[in-house]
Amino acid sequence: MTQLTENYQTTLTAWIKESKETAKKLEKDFKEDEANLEKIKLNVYDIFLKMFNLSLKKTESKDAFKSMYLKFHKTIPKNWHVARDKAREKESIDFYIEDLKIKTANKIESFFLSEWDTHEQS
Amino acid sequence: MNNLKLFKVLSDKSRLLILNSLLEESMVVERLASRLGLAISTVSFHLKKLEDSGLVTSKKDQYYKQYSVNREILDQTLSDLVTLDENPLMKDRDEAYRQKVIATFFSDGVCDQLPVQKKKRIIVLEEIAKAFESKKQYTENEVDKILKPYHHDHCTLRRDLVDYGFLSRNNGVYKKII
Repeated sequence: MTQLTENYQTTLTAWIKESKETAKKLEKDFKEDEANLEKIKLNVYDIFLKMFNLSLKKTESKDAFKSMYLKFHKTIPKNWHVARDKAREKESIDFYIEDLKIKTANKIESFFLSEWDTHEQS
Repeated sequence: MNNLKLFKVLSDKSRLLILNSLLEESMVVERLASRLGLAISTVSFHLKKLEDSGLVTSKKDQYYKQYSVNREILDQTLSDLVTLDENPLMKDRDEAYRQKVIATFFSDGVCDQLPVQKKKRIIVLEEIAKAFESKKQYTENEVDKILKPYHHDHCTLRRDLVDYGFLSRNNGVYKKII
């Protein structure tokens, strides 16, 4: 668990830092909307990093931790899926925002699962 | 179309770059993305904003959507674009102010006191200038005859009408300036 925790926290913190810097650069380059999209990604990284730490704190076994953390990956994006479907129907610009949130959450989940397979399955 | 929305949409470098590309020729999202080095989803996001503002139109071409610039909007001049729909509202407010000034300084068609404030004075003079016919020439006596019922100091009125550009004076002949 130590290696997984360290890798997850280091990577998510690095992604947050990278997104912050990218958003700043985009703002300076008069790309306000792209900067905002980057901030949305940053926010999703931040949410799941917090949920990861919360799961660590609240559980005592490896399996309970995994189950609690992955549950957040089901519950949190649920509303995003609903909002994306509605936006798609209305052909609204919000579709791209909700889609970005979902894709970012999927990226984090895939990273977590690959880290789990590498460090906890063996 | 909302011009403010249009300016907001235009104030983004990536969207200007997309428009620059589309000014060359119609393109699909994938081509724009590879040209600009942006993700397809980012270009789609920008195209949606451009389409909503009316700057870009799209046409389905088999499986792809072909995007083009809307010349009708893009060929407008800057003065067309800075004209807001709220102009009639401002005109209404100006007219209400004008009526208020006229009601204050005129009593039964007579102006007892000329306003000191320039803005109000112009409104009063403009109202009095309506008594003159356009294109018609007046002698000084004729001008005074028209002005006397409005105000006791008709000489000041006459001078003001010339100074503020309501009447022209040439060799003692007065004419209304339209």
